[in-house]
Amino acid sequence: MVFHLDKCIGCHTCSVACKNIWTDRKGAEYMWWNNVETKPGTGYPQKWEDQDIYQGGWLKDASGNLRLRGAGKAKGLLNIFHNPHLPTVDDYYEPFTYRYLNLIEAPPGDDQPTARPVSLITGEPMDVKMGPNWDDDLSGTPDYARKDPNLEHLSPAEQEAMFQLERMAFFYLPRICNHCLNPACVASCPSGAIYKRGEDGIVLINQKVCRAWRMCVTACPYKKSYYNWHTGKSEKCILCFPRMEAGYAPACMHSCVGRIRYIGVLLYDADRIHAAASADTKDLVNAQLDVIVNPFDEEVIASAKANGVPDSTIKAAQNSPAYKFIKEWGMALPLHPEFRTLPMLWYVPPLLPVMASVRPGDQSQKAKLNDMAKTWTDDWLYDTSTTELWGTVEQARFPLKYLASLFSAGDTHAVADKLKKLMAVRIYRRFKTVGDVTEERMKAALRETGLTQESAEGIFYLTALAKFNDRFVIPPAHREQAMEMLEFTGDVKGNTGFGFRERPERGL
Amino acid sequence: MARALTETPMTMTKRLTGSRLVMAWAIAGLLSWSGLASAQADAGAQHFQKLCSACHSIGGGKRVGPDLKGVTERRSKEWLVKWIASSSSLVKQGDPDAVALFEEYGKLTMPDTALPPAELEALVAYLGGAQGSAAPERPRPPPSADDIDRGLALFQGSASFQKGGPACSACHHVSHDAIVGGGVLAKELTTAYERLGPSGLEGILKSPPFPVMARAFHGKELSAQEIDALTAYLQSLGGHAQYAQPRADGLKLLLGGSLGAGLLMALYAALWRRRKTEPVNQRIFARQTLGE
Repeated sequence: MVFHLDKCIGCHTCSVACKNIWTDRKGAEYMWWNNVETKPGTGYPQKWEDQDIYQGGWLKDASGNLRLRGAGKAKGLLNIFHNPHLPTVDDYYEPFTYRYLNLIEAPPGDDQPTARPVSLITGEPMDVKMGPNWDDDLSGTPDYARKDPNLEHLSPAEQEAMFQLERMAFFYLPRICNHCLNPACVASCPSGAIYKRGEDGIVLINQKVCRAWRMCVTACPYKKSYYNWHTGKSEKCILCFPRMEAGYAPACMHSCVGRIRYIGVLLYDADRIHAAASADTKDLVNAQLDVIVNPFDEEVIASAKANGVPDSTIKAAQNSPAYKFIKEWGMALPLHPEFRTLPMLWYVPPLLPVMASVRPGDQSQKAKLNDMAKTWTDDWLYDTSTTELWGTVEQARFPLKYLASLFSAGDTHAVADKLKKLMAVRIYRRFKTVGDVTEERMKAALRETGLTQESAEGIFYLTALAKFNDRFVIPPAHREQAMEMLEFTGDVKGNTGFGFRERPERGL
Repeated sequence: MARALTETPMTMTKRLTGSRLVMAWAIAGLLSWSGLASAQADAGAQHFQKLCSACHSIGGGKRVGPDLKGVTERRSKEWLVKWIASSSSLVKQGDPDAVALFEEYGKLTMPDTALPPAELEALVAYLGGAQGSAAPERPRPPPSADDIDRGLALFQGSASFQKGGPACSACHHVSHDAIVGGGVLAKELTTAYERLGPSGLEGILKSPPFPVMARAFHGKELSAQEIDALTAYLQSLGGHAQYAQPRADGLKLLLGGSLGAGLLMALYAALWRRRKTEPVNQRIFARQTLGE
């Protein structure tokens, strides 16, 4: 999966699509399997990135072994009846509705009737304290934006600079379950209810086996496993597997207005996962990239076939937009790789807001501009094309350190590399369509980032023009094979009708 | 498993093709014919020893079930075959003789046997011919305190059987202070000695007639000493044990319980001392809301 953050407009259509399909139920009102956060901000649940509070993810101990930070065998046994690091409901938000009927049915009185907010958990009137995106678009607030755990690595001066009024900016971070390669939730579950499906890598919680120990809620560093207080089971994003099995993209991806979401097959070498998850913090991203193998490599194809991967899946891996963004072009980074779960949702970091400089306009320069270039009427030039822009990647409105804390465990070079690639493609397209960039400059920009004109064209196509079938390359699910691994279908052959997997309540 | 079993005869037939197959069948037929008569009596005796002798004697008097001497004169052969195959279904059908027997012997169901009809006939034939003898009761020393202790240890599993059979308390319970929460899968054994007597107990323990018990002790037969010890223990319980009140510990239990609970709670409090009880934004909420 790849989310292209440069394209996200923060409309929350994905969240609403997901909510309407999956979590519009009693006990699930507070869950947002898909949510969109404003960054800088504290997110949902509050400060989920701060593992000193929530104790999620993996730690590498002194001897180099991986262990769960807040769960595991010994800790799990000690805390099994009372998991100490769980978020409270107020860390998410207490779900509420309004007593609209009171507006109509209130008895005659001196006061105007009001629709008081009532809790969806207790049914009692309540003070609304939070919502799922309470700090939406509120970049500068001291209560939320300035408490972003990622600011920890920035000096006070750098933080101050970020929140100066004229520099203030924000971007959106849509989040779903990362369907990690080394999922901490799976490792932490005392009941063995969570598993990663072999055929497509979707991480699922078996609702029949779940015993509500809630170790997964603690263990997931992304806080994407939620406890349903009504059913007494934990739930999480299922990547719309019923849709995927039918060849449709997950609802959040299908409904995405900005078309930021891509999904495709990535072949990986599971034997290397442990080594990759135990790599040094600075090597984590590259180690994870090494786990993903080249689907065009003859050796890889042969071993995939030997392991029973269907030809259609290998074909899909070759056409995968995810493979292109992640491996071929190297434009994407995982969210918080330092949690060591090897998340398989990769983000193209945001170049936005558009980097530009404002300076006194040069009329002679202005004459050379295409009509597309914006100019200020008062002779100030809002310039998005000058040669200095290349240098401004390092001085972006978001300090590289901030983005690096989100996407590359602090490695600013990795982030700068991705941003320069984004910039190089823009320079290339600017050369093609606007014409105010010289060919030498365009070629130099591509050369420095290791892109070619073809790959730049490919990136442009997949970023700006891609259709459904380009963005979502989903192979046939081959459910029949997965089923036959677990049961002998001959057992029910010859039975009347369709048969029943579970006894109906009446009849039979 | 099931598939593997059905495949075997198939492959055998394939191997024994043509004339060799015919010959094999012919030899098998000859063998079975010649040995039929004497084999029947032997098979009957074997089956009796294995399946019946735990509860029935021939001429040795009542044990768990009736003495079978001359049973073929009292009942018809067909009735006996049906009864041995499945006494419970005969009782269920309301056969008057069957119901009377069931009532007379304490509503104890005789286990069904899974013998093919020919084997059943052999067994009935054996019963008809067997003379039997009043088996002399083995002289039994009075239960010593040692035997009773050993029996208790074996019953509750603190000592294991020589051949590794499961402890009695896995499935059975008795009313005795020393046994806390014996199993409820099988019959309560407090009055077993009164009901079955020493020879009945010995028979059952030597070769269990109940399918589940037989399976559990298959290849793990109890030794004579073990049987004596268990019998002694069950005898020591006596019929009065079923009316006995549990030992009263009075204040000691209450104090011990509260102390234990207190200790556990202190332990939990220590373990959960650092648990998260407040939302991250508590200070913001306190400032921004009026408070409930």
